[in-house]
Amino acid sequence: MSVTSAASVTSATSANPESVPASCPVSGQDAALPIGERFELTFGEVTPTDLYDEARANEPVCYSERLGLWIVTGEAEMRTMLRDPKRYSSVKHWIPYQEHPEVQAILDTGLPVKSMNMFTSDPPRHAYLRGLLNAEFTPQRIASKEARMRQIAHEVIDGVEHRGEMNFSDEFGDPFCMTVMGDILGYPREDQELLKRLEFGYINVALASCTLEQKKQAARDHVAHQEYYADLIEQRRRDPKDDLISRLIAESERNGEQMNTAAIIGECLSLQIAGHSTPVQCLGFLLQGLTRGGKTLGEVDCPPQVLISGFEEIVRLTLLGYSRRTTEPVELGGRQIPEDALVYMVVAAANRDKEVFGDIEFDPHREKAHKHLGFGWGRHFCIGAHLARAEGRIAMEVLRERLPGLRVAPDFVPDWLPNTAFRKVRRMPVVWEVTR
Amino acid sequence: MKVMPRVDRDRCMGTGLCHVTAPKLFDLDQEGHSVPLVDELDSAEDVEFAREAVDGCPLEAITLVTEPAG
Repeated sequence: MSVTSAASVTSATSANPESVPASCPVSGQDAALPIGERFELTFGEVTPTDLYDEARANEPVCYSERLGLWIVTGEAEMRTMLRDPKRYSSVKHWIPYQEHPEVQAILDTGLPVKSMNMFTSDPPRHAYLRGLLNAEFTPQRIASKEARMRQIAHEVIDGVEHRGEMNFSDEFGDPFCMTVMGDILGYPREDQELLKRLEFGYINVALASCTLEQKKQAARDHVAHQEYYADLIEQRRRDPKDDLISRLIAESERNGEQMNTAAIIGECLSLQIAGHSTPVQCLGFLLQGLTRGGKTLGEVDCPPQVLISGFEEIVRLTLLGYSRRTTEPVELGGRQIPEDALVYMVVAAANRDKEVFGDIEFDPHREKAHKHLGFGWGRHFCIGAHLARAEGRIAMEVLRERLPGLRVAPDFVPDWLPNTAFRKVRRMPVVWEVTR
Repeated sequence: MKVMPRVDRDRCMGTGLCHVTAPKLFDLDQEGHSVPLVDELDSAEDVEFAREAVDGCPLEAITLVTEPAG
Protein backbone atom coordinates (compact mmCIF):
# COMPACT_ATOMS: atom_id res chain seq x y z
CA MET A 1 0.00 0.00 0.00
CA SER A 2 1.09 3.48 -0.48
CA VAL A 3 0.93 6.96 0.86
CA THR A 4 -2.52 8.32 0.52
CA SER A 5 -3.75 11.85 0.65
CA ALA A 6 -6.14 14.09 -1.14
CA ALA A 7 -3.57 15.65 -3.29
CA SER A 8 -0.58 13.49 -2.71
CA VAL A 9 -0.44 11.09 -5.47
CA THR A 10 0.64 7.58 -5.33
CA SER A 11 1.44 5.23 -8.10
CA ALA A 12 2.56 1.73 -7.95
CA THR A 13 5.33 0.95 -10.29
CA SER A 14 8.85 0.35 -9.09
CA ALA A 15 12.04 1.52 -10.72
CA ASN A 16 11.50 -1.37 -13.05
CA PRO A 17 7.77 -1.34 -13.79
CA GLU A 18 7.87 -4.68 -15.59
CA SER A 19 8.85 -6.47 -12.41
CA VAL A 20 5.79 -5.51 -10.40
CA PRO A 21 2.87 -7.92 -10.37
CA ALA A 22 -0.02 -6.18 -12.06
CA SER A 23 -2.83 -8.32 -10.79
CA CYS A 24 -5.31 -6.67 -8.45
CA PRO A 25 -7.59 -8.89 -6.48
CA VAL A 26 -11.18 -7.94 -7.20
CA SER A 27 -13.10 -6.95 -4.12
CA GLY A 28 -16.46 -8.08 -2.94
CA GLN A 29 -16.38 -11.66 -4.07
CA ASP A 30 -17.37 -13.52 -0.93
CA ALA A 31 -20.60 -12.19 0.50
CA ALA A 32 -20.30 -14.44 3.57
CA LEU A 33 -17.40 -12.40 4.93
CA PRO A 34 -17.95 -9.36 7.19
CA ILE A 35 -18.18 -6.31 4.97
CA GLY A 36 -14.86 -4.83 6.05
CA GLU A 37 -13.04 -8.00 5.03
CA ARG A 38 -14.37 -7.78 1.48
CA PHE A 39 -12.52 -4.55 0.71
CA GLU A 40 -9.27 -4.40 -1.20
CA LEU A 41 -7.51 -1.07 -1.19
CA THR A 42 -6.54 -1.28 -4.82
CA PHE A 43 -8.52 -0.47 -7.91
CA GLY A 44 -8.73 -3.32 -10.35
CA GLU A 45 -10.44 -3.85 -13.63
CA VAL A 46 -13.80 -4.03 -11.91
CA THR A 47 -14.93 -1.34 -9.49
CA PRO A 48 -16.95 -3.09 -6.77
CA THR A 49 -19.93 -0.75 -6.90
CA ASP A 50 -22.25 -3.36 -5.33
CA LEU A 51 -19.95 -3.62 -2.33
CA TYR A 52 -19.79 0.18 -2.12
CA ASP A 53 -23.60 0.44 -2.23
CA GLU A 54 -24.00 -2.22 0.46
CA ALA A 55 -21.37 -0.68 2.74
CA ARG A 56 -22.74 2.86 2.33
CA ALA A 57 -26.29 1.69 3.11
CA ASN A 58 -25.53 -0.68 5.99
CA GLU A 59 -22.13 0.10 7.46
CA PRO A 60 -20.82 3.49 6.32
CA VAL A 61 -18.02 2.97 8.84
CA CYS A 62 -16.63 -0.56 9.21
CA TYR A 63 -13.46 -2.22 10.40
CA SER A 64 -11.19 -4.56 8.46
CA GLU A 65 -9.24 -6.89 10.68
CA ARG A 66 -7.25 -8.10 7.70
CA LEU A 67 -6.24 -4.62 6.49
CA GLY A 68 -5.88 -3.28 10.03
CA LEU A 69 -7.84 -0.13 9.34
CA TRP A 70 -11.25 1.47 9.49
CA ILE A 71 -13.09 1.91 6.21
CA VAL A 72 -15.48 4.79 5.59
CA THR A 73 -17.87 4.78 2.60
CA GLY A 74 -20.39 7.41 3.74
CA GLU A 75 -19.98 10.90 2.33
CA ALA A 76 -21.31 12.63 5.47
CA GLU A 77 -18.79 10.77 7.63
CA MET A 78 -15.97 11.74 5.25
CA ARG A 79 -16.91 15.42 5.43
CA THR A 80 -17.02 15.17 9.23
CA MET A 81 -13.48 13.81 9.20
CA LEU A 82 -12.14 16.29 6.67
CA ARG A 83 -13.36 19.32 8.58
CA ASP A 84 -11.88 18.11 11.89
CA PRO A 85 -8.07 17.90 11.70
CA LYS A 86 -7.83 17.95 15.50
CA ARG A 87 -9.39 14.50 15.74
CA TYR A 88 -8.51 13.19 12.28
CA SER A 89 -4.87 14.00 11.70
CA SER A 90 -2.91 14.04 8.45
CA VAL A 91 0.31 13.35 10.33
CA LYS A 92 1.41 9.72 10.00
CA HIS A 93 -1.63 8.92 7.91
CA TRP A 94 0.12 6.67 5.45
CA ILE A 95 -0.37 2.94 5.22
CA PRO A 96 1.46 1.10 6.69
CA TYR A 97 3.33 3.35 9.02
CA GLN A 98 5.94 0.73 9.94
CA GLU A 99 8.44 -0.20 7.26
CA HIS A 100 10.51 -3.38 7.14
CA PRO A 101 13.69 -2.74 9.24
CA GLU A 102 15.97 -3.16 6.19
CA VAL A 103 13.89 -0.67 4.21
CA GLN A 104 13.77 1.72 7.16
CA ALA A 105 17.56 1.53 7.51
CA ILE A 106 17.92 2.82 3.94
CA LEU A 107 15.29 5.53 4.47
CA ASP A 108 17.12 6.60 7.63
CA THR A 109 20.15 7.54 5.53
CA GLY A 110 17.99 10.28 4.00
CA LEU A 111 15.88 13.01 5.57
CA PRO A 112 12.51 12.48 7.29
CA VAL A 113 10.84 14.57 4.59
CA LYS A 114 7.71 12.46 4.42
CA SER A 115 6.69 13.56 7.89
CA MET A 116 6.88 17.27 7.27
CA ASN A 117 5.30 18.22 3.96
CA MET A 118 1.96 19.92 3.44
CA PHE A 119 0.08 16.67 2.82
CA THR A 120 1.26 15.17 6.10
CA SER A 121 0.80 18.16 8.39
CA ASP A 122 -2.00 19.59 10.51
CA PRO A 123 -2.70 23.17 11.54
CA PRO A 124 -0.90 25.40 12.32
CA ARG A 125 2.00 23.91 10.30
CA HIS A 126 -0.34 23.10 7.42
CA ALA A 127 -1.73 26.64 7.30
CA TYR A 128 1.80 28.05 7.15
CA LEU A 129 2.81 25.78 4.24
CA ARG A 130 -0.46 26.21 2.38
CA GLY A 131 -0.12 29.98 2.79
CA LEU A 132 3.29 29.83 1.13
CA LEU A 133 2.19 27.64 -1.75
CA ASN A 134 -1.33 28.85 -2.53
CA ALA A 135 -0.08 31.83 -4.52
CA GLU A 136 1.56 29.52 -7.07
CA PHE A 137 -1.71 27.81 -7.96
CA THR A 138 -4.43 30.47 -7.95
CA PRO A 139 -6.81 30.60 -10.93
CA GLN A 140 -5.17 33.85 -12.07
CA ARG A 141 -1.66 32.40 -11.87
CA ILE A 142 -2.74 29.35 -13.81
CA ALA A 143 -4.50 31.54 -16.39
CA SER A 144 -1.26 33.48 -16.85
CA LYS A 145 0.45 30.20 -17.79
CA GLU A 146 -2.14 29.22 -20.40
CA ALA A 147 -0.15 30.29 -23.47
CA ARG A 148 2.96 28.56 -22.17
CA MET A 149 1.03 25.35 -21.43
CA ARG A 150 -0.42 25.40 -24.93
CA GLN A 151 3.08 25.86 -26.35
CA ILE A 152 4.35 22.88 -24.33
CA ALA A 153 1.53 20.69 -25.65
CA HIS A 154 2.38 21.74 -29.22
CA GLU A 155 6.08 20.98 -28.70
CA VAL A 156 5.34 17.51 -27.36
CA ILE A 157 3.08 16.80 -30.34
CA ASP A 158 5.72 18.11 -32.78
CA GLY A 159 7.88 15.17 -31.74
CA VAL A 160 5.31 12.42 -32.39
CA GLU A 161 2.90 13.85 -34.97
CA HIS A 162 4.39 11.93 -37.93
CA ARG A 163 4.03 8.54 -36.24
CA GLY A 164 0.27 8.01 -36.07
CA GLU A 165 0.47 6.15 -32.77
CA MET A 166 1.97 6.52 -29.30
CA ASN A 167 1.74 5.35 -25.73
CA PHE A 168 -0.33 8.27 -24.46
CA SER A 169 0.92 8.43 -20.86
CA ASP A 170 4.63 8.04 -21.57
CA GLU A 171 4.82 10.08 -24.76
CA PHE A 172 2.29 12.85 -24.25
CA GLY A 173 1.13 12.92 -20.60
CA ASP A 174 4.54 12.64 -18.95
CA PRO A 175 6.42 15.27 -20.98
CA PHE A 176 3.42 17.65 -20.97
CA CYS A 177 2.71 17.48 -17.22
CA MET A 178 6.38 17.28 -16.19
CA THR A 179 7.35 20.29 -18.28
CA VAL A 180 4.46 22.29 -16.79
CA MET A 181 5.42 21.19 -13.27
CA GLY A 182 9.15 21.65 -13.95
CA ASP A 183 8.47 25.26 -14.96
CA ILE A 184 6.66 25.88 -11.67
CA LEU A 185 9.03 24.04 -9.35
CA GLY A 186 12.23 24.73 -11.21
CA TYR A 187 13.60 21.40 -12.45
CA PRO A 188 14.92 21.33 -16.02
CA ARG A 189 13.45 19.33 -18.88
CA GLU A 190 16.49 17.12 -19.30
CA ASP A 191 16.00 15.68 -15.80
CA GLN A 192 12.48 14.37 -16.46
CA GLU A 193 13.50 10.77 -17.16
CA LEU A 194 15.66 10.63 -14.03
CA LEU A 195 12.88 12.12 -11.91
CA LYS A 196 10.32 9.71 -13.35
CA ARG A 197 12.49 6.82 -12.24
CA LEU A 198 13.27 8.24 -8.80
CA GLU A 199 9.78 9.41 -7.93
CA PHE A 200 8.43 5.89 -7.81
CA GLY A 201 10.58 5.32 -4.74
CA TYR A 202 8.56 7.78 -2.71
CA ILE A 203 5.37 5.86 -3.10
CA ASN A 204 6.59 2.37 -3.66
CA VAL A 205 8.36 1.68 -0.40
CA ALA A 206 5.03 1.11 1.26
CA LEU A 207 3.38 -0.91 -1.48
CA ALA A 208 2.26 -4.27 -0.15
CA SER A 209 2.70 -6.14 -3.42
CA CYS A 210 6.40 -5.32 -3.77
CA THR A 211 9.13 -7.74 -2.81
CA LEU A 212 11.60 -6.72 -0.14
CA GLU A 213 14.29 -6.22 -2.79
CA GLN A 214 11.99 -3.93 -4.79
CA LYS A 215 11.17 -1.94 -1.67
CA LYS A 216 14.85 -1.58 -0.83
CA GLN A 217 15.58 -0.33 -4.34
CA ALA A 218 12.64 2.08 -4.06
CA ALA A 219 14.00 3.34 -0.73
CA ARG A 220 17.39 3.95 -2.34
CA ASP A 221 15.64 5.82 -5.17
CA HIS A 222 13.75 7.86 -2.61
CA VAL A 223 16.98 8.92 -0.90
CA ALA A 224 18.53 9.70 -4.30
CA HIS A 225 15.44 11.79 -5.13
CA GLN A 226 16.00 13.83 -1.97
CA GLU A 227 19.65 14.29 -2.92
CA TYR A 228 18.61 15.47 -6.38
CA TYR A 229 16.55 18.27 -4.83
CA ALA A 230 19.25 19.03 -2.23
CA ASP A 231 21.65 19.67 -5.14
CA LEU A 232 19.10 21.75 -7.04
CA ILE A 233 18.46 23.81 -3.89
CA GLU A 234 22.20 24.50 -3.58
CA GLN A 235 22.31 25.64 -7.22
CA ARG A 236 19.34 27.97 -6.70
CA ARG A 237 20.78 29.31 -3.46
CA ARG A 238 23.76 30.54 -5.49
CA ASP A 239 21.75 31.53 -8.54
CA PRO A 240 18.06 32.22 -7.77
CA LYS A 241 15.52 31.98 -10.58
CA ASP A 242 11.83 32.76 -10.99
CA ASP A 243 10.64 29.42 -9.64
CA LEU A 244 9.06 27.89 -6.55
CA ILE A 245 12.31 26.40 -5.24
CA SER A 246 13.95 29.83 -5.25
CA ARG A 247 10.96 31.34 -3.46
CA LEU A 248 11.07 28.60 -0.78
CA ILE A 249 14.80 29.26 -0.32
CA ALA A 250 14.08 32.97 0.14
CA GLU A 251 11.46 32.04 2.75
CA SER A 252 13.99 29.80 4.55
CA GLU A 253 16.40 32.74 4.72
CA ARG A 254 13.69 34.88 6.30
CA ASN A 255 12.20 32.19 8.49
CA GLY A 256 14.66 29.35 9.03
CA GLU A 257 12.77 27.91 12.00
CA GLN A 258 9.74 27.07 9.90
CA MET A 259 11.41 26.36 6.58
CA ASN A 260 14.69 24.47 6.35
CA THR A 261 16.29 22.52 3.53
CA ALA A 262 14.55 19.27 4.50
CA ALA A 263 11.19 21.03 4.41
CA ILE A 264 11.92 22.47 0.96
CA ILE A 265 12.87 19.01 -0.27
CA GLY A 266 9.66 17.61 1.22
CA GLU A 267 7.52 20.12 -0.65
CA CYS A 268 9.42 19.60 -3.91
CA LEU A 269 9.04 15.82 -3.77
CA SER A 270 5.37 15.82 -2.94
CA LEU A 271 4.40 18.57 -5.38
CA GLN A 272 6.37 16.99 -8.20
CA ILE A 273 4.72 13.63 -7.67
CA ALA A 274 1.25 15.09 -7.17
CA GLY A 275 1.70 17.30 -10.22
CA HIS A 276 2.77 14.45 -12.41
CA SER A 277 1.25 10.99 -11.88
CA THR A 278 -2.38 11.90 -11.26
CA PRO A 279 -2.88 14.42 -14.06
CA VAL A 280 -1.15 12.08 -16.53
CA GLN A 281 -3.57 9.26 -15.72
CA CYS A 282 -6.53 11.65 -15.74
CA LEU A 283 -5.61 13.00 -19.20
CA GLY A 284 -5.60 9.46 -20.60
CA PHE A 285 -8.93 8.60 -18.99
CA LEU A 286 -10.41 11.90 -20.21
CA LEU A 287 -9.43 11.12 -23.80
CA GLN A 288 -10.87 7.63 -23.36
CA GLY A 289 -14.08 8.99 -21.83
CA LEU A 290 -14.64 11.65 -24.49
CA THR A 291 -14.05 9.19 -27.36
CA ARG A 292 -16.17 6.37 -25.87
CA GLY A 293 -18.42 4.58 -28.32
CA GLY A 294 -15.77 4.40 -31.05
CA LYS A 295 -15.61 8.14 -31.81
CA THR A 296 -12.49 10.14 -32.51
CA LEU A 297 -11.71 13.26 -30.49
CA GLY A 298 -12.37 15.39 -33.57
CA GLU A 299 -15.89 13.94 -33.90
CA VAL A 300 -16.83 14.95 -30.36
CA ASP A 301 -18.19 18.41 -29.68
CA CYS A 302 -15.73 19.76 -27.09
CA PRO A 303 -16.57 23.27 -25.91
CA PRO A 304 -14.50 24.30 -22.87
CA GLN A 305 -17.35 23.57 -20.46
CA VAL A 306 -17.54 19.96 -21.64
CA LEU A 307 -13.78 19.55 -21.18
CA ILE A 308 -13.94 21.15 -17.73
CA SER A 309 -16.88 19.03 -16.56
CA GLY A 310 -15.41 15.98 -18.28
CA PHE A 311 -12.19 16.43 -16.36
CA GLU A 312 -14.11 16.70 -13.06
CA GLU A 313 -15.91 13.49 -14.00
CA ILE A 314 -12.61 11.72 -14.52
CA VAL A 315 -11.31 12.94 -11.16
CA ARG A 316 -14.57 11.73 -9.57
CA LEU A 317 -14.14 8.26 -11.09
CA THR A 318 -10.35 7.91 -10.83
CA LEU A 319 -9.63 8.56 -7.17
CA LEU A 320 -9.91 5.63 -4.80
CA GLY A 321 -9.33 7.23 -1.42
CA TYR A 322 -7.16 8.72 1.29
CA SER A 323 -6.77 8.32 5.01
CA ARG A 324 -6.41 10.04 8.37
CA ARG A 325 -5.21 8.94 11.82
CA THR A 326 -7.32 9.50 14.93
CA THR A 327 -5.78 11.53 17.76
CA GLU A 328 -8.39 10.51 20.36
CA PRO A 329 -11.26 8.00 20.64
CA VAL A 330 -14.06 9.12 18.30
CA GLU A 331 -17.58 8.11 17.38
CA LEU A 332 -18.21 8.05 13.65
CA GLY A 333 -21.17 6.59 11.80
CA GLY A 334 -22.32 4.90 15.01
CA ARG A 335 -18.99 3.14 15.57
CA GLN A 336 -16.45 3.74 18.31
CA ILE A 337 -12.97 4.22 16.82
CA PRO A 338 -10.00 4.16 19.21
CA GLU A 339 -7.16 6.66 19.36
CA ASP A 340 -4.25 6.25 16.90
CA ALA A 341 -6.33 4.29 14.36
CA LEU A 342 -5.97 4.59 10.62
CA VAL A 343 -9.26 5.54 8.97
CA TYR A 344 -9.44 5.10 5.20
CA MET A 345 -12.04 7.07 3.27
CA VAL A 346 -13.14 5.16 0.18
CA VAL A 347 -13.85 8.25 -1.87
CA ALA A 348 -14.63 5.99 -4.83
CA ALA A 349 -17.73 4.84 -2.92
CA ALA A 350 -18.94 8.35 -2.07
CA ASN A 351 -18.28 9.45 -5.65
CA ARG A 352 -20.49 6.64 -6.97
CA ASP A 353 -23.52 7.29 -4.79
CA LYS A 354 -26.55 7.02 -7.09
CA GLU A 355 -28.61 9.13 -4.70
CA VAL A 356 -26.18 12.01 -5.20
CA PHE A 357 -25.10 11.57 -8.82
CA GLY A 358 -28.01 9.68 -10.43
CA ASP A 359 -26.36 7.84 -13.29
CA ILE A 360 -22.84 7.32 -11.98
CA GLU A 361 -21.20 6.73 -15.38
CA PHE A 362 -18.89 9.33 -16.97
CA ASP A 363 -20.98 12.25 -18.20
CA PRO A 364 -19.12 15.32 -19.47
CA HIS A 365 -22.42 17.22 -19.57
CA ARG A 366 -23.10 16.70 -15.87
CA GLU A 367 -24.21 19.87 -14.09
CA LYS A 368 -22.15 20.90 -11.06
CA ALA A 369 -19.69 18.17 -11.90
CA HIS A 370 -17.23 19.56 -9.36
CA LYS A 371 -19.31 18.28 -6.44
CA HIS A 372 -17.27 15.18 -5.74
CA LEU A 373 -14.55 14.29 -3.26
CA GLY A 374 -11.89 13.31 -5.79
CA PHE A 375 -9.84 16.45 -5.16
CA GLY A 376 -10.33 16.01 -1.43
CA TRP A 377 -12.24 18.43 0.75
CA GLY A 378 -11.42 20.71 3.64
CA ARG A 379 -8.10 22.41 4.21
CA HIS A 380 -6.23 19.72 2.29
CA PHE A 381 -8.34 20.22 -0.86
CA CYS A 382 -6.01 19.67 -3.83
CA ILE A 383 -3.86 22.77 -4.16
CA GLY A 384 -3.27 21.96 -7.82
CA ALA A 385 -6.93 21.55 -8.79
CA HIS A 386 -7.00 24.70 -10.95
CA LEU A 387 -3.78 23.64 -12.63
CA ALA A 388 -5.04 20.12 -13.30
CA ARG A 389 -8.33 21.39 -14.75
CA ALA A 390 -6.41 23.73 -17.07
CA GLU A 391 -4.07 20.92 -18.13
CA GLY A 392 -7.05 18.71 -18.99
CA ARG A 393 -8.77 21.34 -21.09
CA ILE A 394 -5.65 22.64 -22.84
CA ALA A 395 -4.28 19.17 -23.60
CA MET A 396 -7.56 18.05 -25.20
CA GLU A 397 -7.90 21.27 -27.21
CA VAL A 398 -4.38 21.04 -28.64
CA LEU A 399 -4.59 17.28 -29.26
CA ARG A 400 -7.91 17.77 -31.07
CA GLU A 401 -6.43 20.53 -33.22
CA ARG A 402 -3.21 18.71 -34.07
CA LEU A 403 -3.98 14.99 -34.32
CA PRO A 404 -6.92 14.22 -36.64
CA GLY A 405 -8.75 11.01 -35.88
CA LEU A 406 -7.20 10.71 -32.44
CA ARG A 407 -8.66 7.90 -30.36
CA VAL A 408 -7.66 5.16 -27.95
CA ALA A 409 -6.40 2.13 -29.95
CA PRO A 410 -9.41 -0.09 -30.68
CA ASP A 411 -7.67 -3.17 -29.30
CA PHE A 412 -6.75 -1.43 -26.01
CA VAL A 413 -7.11 -3.68 -22.98
CA PRO A 414 -6.32 -1.91 -19.70
CA ASP A 415 -3.41 -3.40 -17.80
CA TRP A 416 -4.23 -2.14 -14.31
CA LEU A 417 -1.47 -1.31 -11.88
CA PRO A 418 -2.13 -1.90 -8.18
CA ASN A 419 -2.63 1.38 -6.42
CA THR A 420 -4.34 2.51 -3.24
CA ALA A 421 -5.02 6.09 -4.26
CA PHE A 422 -6.20 6.16 -7.85
CA ARG A 423 -6.83 4.10 -10.97
CA LYS A 424 -3.74 3.60 -13.04
CA VAL A 425 -3.07 1.72 -16.23
CA ARG A 426 0.39 0.69 -17.36
CA ARG A 427 -0.03 2.07 -20.84
CA MET A 428 -2.71 3.55 -23.06
CA PRO A 429 -1.96 3.24 -26.79
CA VAL A 430 -3.62 5.88 -28.96
CA VAL A 431 -3.78 6.23 -32.77
CA TRP A 432 -4.49 9.04 -35.26
CA GLU A 433 -4.31 9.71 -38.99
CA VAL A 434 -1.06 10.96 -40.45
CA THR A 435 -1.93 13.39 -43.20
CA ARG A 436 1.48 14.00 -44.73
CA MET B 1 -32.73 44.12 1.94
CA LYS B 2 -29.05 44.24 1.00
CA VAL B 3 -27.18 40.91 0.92
CA MET B 4 -23.39 41.18 1.04
CA PRO B 5 -20.86 38.33 0.73
CA ARG B 6 -18.03 38.28 3.26
CA VAL B 7 -14.92 36.09 3.42
CA ASP B 8 -13.05 35.47 6.66
CA ARG B 9 -9.43 35.50 5.50
CA ASP B 10 -8.24 33.74 8.65
CA ARG B 11 -10.45 30.76 7.91
CA CYS B 12 -10.00 30.69 4.12
CA MET B 13 -7.44 28.10 2.96
CA GLY B 14 -7.75 28.87 -0.72
CA THR B 15 -9.52 25.75 -1.93
CA GLY B 16 -11.12 27.84 -4.68
CA LEU B 17 -14.39 25.93 -4.38
CA CYS B 18 -16.32 29.23 -4.13
CA HIS B 19 -14.72 30.37 -7.38
CA VAL B 20 -15.69 27.15 -9.14
CA THR B 21 -19.23 27.33 -7.73
CA ALA B 22 -19.79 31.04 -8.41
CA PRO B 23 -17.02 32.45 -10.65
CA LYS B 24 -18.84 35.78 -11.06
CA LEU B 25 -19.01 36.32 -7.31
CA PHE B 26 -15.69 35.01 -5.92
CA ASP B 27 -12.09 34.89 -7.08
CA LEU B 28 -8.80 34.19 -5.32
CA ASP B 29 -6.39 37.06 -4.73
CA GLN B 30 -2.65 36.84 -5.34
CA GLU B 31 -2.05 35.11 -2.02
CA GLY B 32 -4.76 32.57 -2.73
CA HIS B 33 -7.44 33.95 -0.41
CA SER B 34 -11.00 34.17 -1.62
CA VAL B 35 -12.32 37.66 -2.30
CA PRO B 36 -15.89 38.65 -3.15
CA LEU B 37 -16.07 40.31 -6.58
CA VAL B 38 -19.21 42.26 -5.72
CA ASP B 39 -20.15 44.37 -2.71
CA GLU B 40 -23.77 43.43 -2.88
CA LEU B 41 -25.75 40.58 -4.42
CA ASP B 42 -28.28 42.23 -6.68
CA SER B 43 -30.33 39.33 -7.99
CA ALA B 44 -32.07 36.28 -6.57
CA GLU B 45 -29.90 34.15 -8.84
CA ASP B 46 -26.69 35.60 -7.38
CA VAL B 47 -27.98 35.04 -3.86
CA GLU B 48 -28.63 31.43 -4.81
CA PHE B 49 -25.09 31.00 -6.18
CA ALA B 50 -23.61 32.71 -3.12
CA ARG B 51 -25.59 30.44 -0.77
CA GLU B 52 -24.21 27.46 -2.62
CA ALA B 53 -20.68 28.81 -2.17
CA VAL B 54 -21.37 29.34 1.55
CA ASP B 55 -22.62 25.75 1.93
CA GLY B 56 -19.79 24.36 -0.19
CA CYS B 57 -16.92 26.04 1.64
CA PRO B 58 -15.27 23.35 3.77
CA LEU B 59 -13.65 25.96 6.02
CA GLU B 60 -16.93 27.81 6.65
CA ALA B 61 -15.15 30.99 5.65
CA ILE B 62 -17.97 32.65 3.69
CA THR B 63 -20.98 34.38 5.18
CA LEU B 64 -23.79 36.46 3.77
CA VAL B 65 -24.48 39.63 5.72
CA THR B 66 -27.92 41.20 5.38
CA GLU B 67 -28.75 44.82 6.01
CA PRO B 68 -31.95 46.80 5.49
CA ALA B 69 -31.84 48.55 2.10
CA GLY B 70 -31.06 52.24 1.97
